[in-house]
Amino acid sequence: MIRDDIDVAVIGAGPGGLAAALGAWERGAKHVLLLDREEEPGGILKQCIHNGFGLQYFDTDLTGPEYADRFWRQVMATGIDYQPRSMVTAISADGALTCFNASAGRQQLKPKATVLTNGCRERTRGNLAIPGARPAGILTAGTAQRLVNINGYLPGRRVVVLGSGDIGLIMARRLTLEGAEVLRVAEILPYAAGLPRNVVQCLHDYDIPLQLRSTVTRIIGSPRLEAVEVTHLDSGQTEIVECDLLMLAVGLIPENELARSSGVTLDPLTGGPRVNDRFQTSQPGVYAAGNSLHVSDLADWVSLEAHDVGKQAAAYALGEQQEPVAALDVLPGDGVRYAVPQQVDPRGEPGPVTFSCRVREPMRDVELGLWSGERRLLRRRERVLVPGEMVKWTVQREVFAQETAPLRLTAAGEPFCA
Amino acid sequence: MADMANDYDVLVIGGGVVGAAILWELAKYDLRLALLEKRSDVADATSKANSGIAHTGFDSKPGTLESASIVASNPRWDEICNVLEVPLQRCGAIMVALSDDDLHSLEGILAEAHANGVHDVRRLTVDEVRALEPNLNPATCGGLLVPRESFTSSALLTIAYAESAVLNGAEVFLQHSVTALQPVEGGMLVTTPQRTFRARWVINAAGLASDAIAALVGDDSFAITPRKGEFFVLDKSVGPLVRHIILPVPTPISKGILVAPTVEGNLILGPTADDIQDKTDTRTTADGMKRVAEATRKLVPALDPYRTTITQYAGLRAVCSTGHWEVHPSERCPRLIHAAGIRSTGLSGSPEIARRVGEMLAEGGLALRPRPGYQPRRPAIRLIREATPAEAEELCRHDPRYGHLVCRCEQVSEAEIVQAIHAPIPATTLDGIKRRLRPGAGRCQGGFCGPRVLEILARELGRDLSGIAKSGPGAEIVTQRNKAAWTSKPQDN
Ligand SMILES: Cc1cc2nc3c(=O)[nH]c(=O)nc-3n(C[C@H](O)[C@H](O)[C@H](O)COP(=O)(O)OP(=O)(O)OC[C@H]3O[C@@H](n4cnc5c(N)ncnc54)[C@H](O)[C@@H]3O)c2cc1C
Ligand SMILES: Cc1cc2nc3c(=O)[nH]c(=O)nc-3n(C[C@H](O)[C@H](O)[C@H](O)COP(=O)(O)OP(=O)(O)OC[C@H]3O[C@@H](n4cnc5c(N)ncnc54)[C@H](O)[C@@H]3O)c2cc1C
Repeated sequence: MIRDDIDVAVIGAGPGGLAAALGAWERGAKHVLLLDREEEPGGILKQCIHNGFGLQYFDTDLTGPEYADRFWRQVMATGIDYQPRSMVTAISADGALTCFNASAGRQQLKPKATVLTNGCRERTRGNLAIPGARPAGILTAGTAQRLVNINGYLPGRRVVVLGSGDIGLIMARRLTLEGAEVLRVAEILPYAAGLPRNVVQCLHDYDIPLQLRSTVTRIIGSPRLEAVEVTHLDSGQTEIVECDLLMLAVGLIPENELARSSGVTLDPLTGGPRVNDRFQTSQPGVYAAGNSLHVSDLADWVSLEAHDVGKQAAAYALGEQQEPVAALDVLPGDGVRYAVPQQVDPRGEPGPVTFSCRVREPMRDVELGLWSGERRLLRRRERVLVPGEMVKWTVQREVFAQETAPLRLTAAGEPFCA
Repeated sequence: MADMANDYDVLVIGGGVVGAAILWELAKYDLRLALLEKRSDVADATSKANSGIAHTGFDSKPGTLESASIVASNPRWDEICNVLEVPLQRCGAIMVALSDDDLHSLEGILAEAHANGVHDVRRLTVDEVRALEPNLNPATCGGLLVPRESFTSSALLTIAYAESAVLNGAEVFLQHSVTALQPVEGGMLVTTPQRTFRARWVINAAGLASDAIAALVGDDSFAITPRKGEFFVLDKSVGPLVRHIILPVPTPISKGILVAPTVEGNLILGPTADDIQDKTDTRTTADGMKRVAEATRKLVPALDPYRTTITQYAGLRAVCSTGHWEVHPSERCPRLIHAAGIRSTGLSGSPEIARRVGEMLAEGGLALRPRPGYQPRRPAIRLIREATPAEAEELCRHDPRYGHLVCRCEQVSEAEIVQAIHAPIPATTLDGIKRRLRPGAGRCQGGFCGPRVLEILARELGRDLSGIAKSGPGAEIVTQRNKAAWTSKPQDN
């Protein structure tokens, strides 16, 4: 039996999904179904017991669970239907969802619109092809975080962190507080991948060395990790560092399997689906937001974005969304790694478009540019930008309403090593 | 200690594909059987880290035991995989010629294939090769089709052999390492740290350690050295690049590095062939991976191993100093039968090796009477990812835990994991679960499912989380409770 009474299905109840469900409800969708594979809503925030959430959205410094809880309370005050322990395994080309639920078994749903807010996954040791032994004691930082903060167990006592992504930095501090010795953070780039505030608050404040231009080139020990070989890229020197846990914070990738299963077009730069300025993917009725679209540095950005995406999905479900009139591609130009949305409708409904992008390398005295062909439409100055920090740029549609050549986002500034 | 009566008729040392196949073969007969394996699981050594190909024997050396075993085994795979419920992919292999020299070599290989009795091997024109495999190197100038080369899972086959035997009364003792052998009147004493067993016959299927087992009775007629083979496993997204097993034309040193589609839809690339010293050295190396990448890109230029790999592994071939397989009673101790030095094709030859060992036992005077009530079928765990919609609904109705998916990448449910933990050969480690069901073998490599599988293992085995290991003792995932947990709730057991 296929359930077809749902206006908007939201897949994943992290900050993205909670906000998207609220947005859809507020926009008038009658039946909003929020699905999550876990028991509790909140997504990755359930295990982020540190503070630093809500500064943009609520102007307050909250922990991850507190932040999620604020949204959850709002959701509970609505008629949104939350169905936990439900993993969506596929979206067909006609938008039907296959879902497995621990009590209802296999379900088929045919919502009028779907929002993908199913988060991201971490890059692994296997992705990096680090040679050597394959012992216990190698975990991604998010998995280590789950073991420590949800299960209440320590995965090691002498720790090397590879990669300086935010989760690795947060976990370096967390494990230090638990009495483990975090020996160093090795980063292959000449600058930290994570947010500057996390470098200060998680490494500097705890005297954990950040070793730039270095990486782990060999895994030693069996059946448990005994040491890693760290290579310094500039000198070519290697060093054996004894440890019993190697924690990887080497990047996040949007969880794009569902998107793939439905055949939506992916953006190789973000790893997530390509979307237009309504956050609709190449498949009508399928929307994406949050980390499953492009990996955010802050949950606040995810909530803001997803809230709006939920509204768009509801408008579509209610048959109230205008057909796109025209389409302009949005491309990352010089100095910019990716841009979202990947397409805008220059003659779409009035209202601003918020672009998200990341710079390629840390730079000072930056000039951001929005171009169409060879013409610069807009510029904006920033004192400092780093790749770890997402740039949000809200632009009035009038600015590009007359354009016909693709839009380009650029960033030029003086490079430096953060 | 052991009384004078024999505990067992036959005791097999080693739970690799060879030992397990022997146990399975002997379990057809009315015998008291046991297998001793030093690790926490069967299929935890070479038999889990190979190319997984059930060869036809087309390119083996004619007239050898190896060739005879593979050729005799190959026609049996459909039947064996059917009754043991092990996946088998009859994908066929294509040997790709990239030069005139290669084309020339194909002639010899074709003749050899026919000499081995593999008559369906045939030449392919360039156009035929391209039509079958559009992604091959444009320099391809011809090829050889080996229709019956097949892909299976060596680990699943090993587990199935062993489980089938257990279902028919055999016993498997894991974490039992044989440390001494002593011939006694009418049998042998087999010592492990836990217990001494007494058996009428002992089979040496200890793989890389089979020379050490032989040495326990003073038999030094062969020595084993390890030859490493390294592999890349690639993401399923590039799985469709090839449909057959893609082989290079072999060189005098090696069969060469191949590209193979796995039963699960990934690709594997490898193996290298490097003689090394240390029999425990299953490390991957930067150099080995590089050679695999280069060699396979020559066959299929679109491959980008470093950007599409999800994991890498290495296995060790047991190379015998005599240059061939040693499948015969020990000259020093006729009650010890070697099934040793099974270097490169043990999976492919395992049914026939096992049959021959049975024959040797019969010749030695062991009566092989059919086991009353023998059950040939070993039911595999029903997988939710392979179920049709109707079957999936049925499975969930029958056991709601089928509706609780624990692994996203490979779609594995709690029900399957629980069954594996309580199976005839119990999976008690993360690797054991992964080998059987694949949570952790997919794209996220256990990032999501790892802690959840850990929790299920702890619950089902009645252990604390810190008592669950990746592979076995010493490889625990978590070591102790953290401070917050100590103060907030007492340790449950
Ligand atoms: C470890 C870590 C630390 C962070 N620290 C901070 C910080 O200090 N401050 C800050 O502002 N931001 C921080 N962030 C960023 C922020 O948490 C994320 O940007 C945010 O959680 C992303 O929200 P999301 O809803 O897109 O994804 P998630 O929170 O990951 O939620 C995705 C949800 O989807 C569910 N799901 C996935 N697949 C399926 C499926 N197939 N079917 C059903 N459900 C599914 C998951 O179970 C999960 O509940 C951190 C992120 C991480 C990972
Ligand atoms: C790189 C590579 C690729 C290969 N590709 C293929 C292929 O495609 N097709 C094919 O047919 N073959 C292939 N092979 C060969 C095949 O893997 C081997 O022939 C086969 O696995 C050997 O099985 P085994 O049971 O003899 O050894 P193993 O699998 O090594 O088993 C021996 C067992 O004995 C146990 N043991 C050792 N000492 C003791 C002791 N004292 N007490 C108790 N137990 C003990 C070990 O723990 C181990 O589990 C490949 C091999 C390699 C390395």
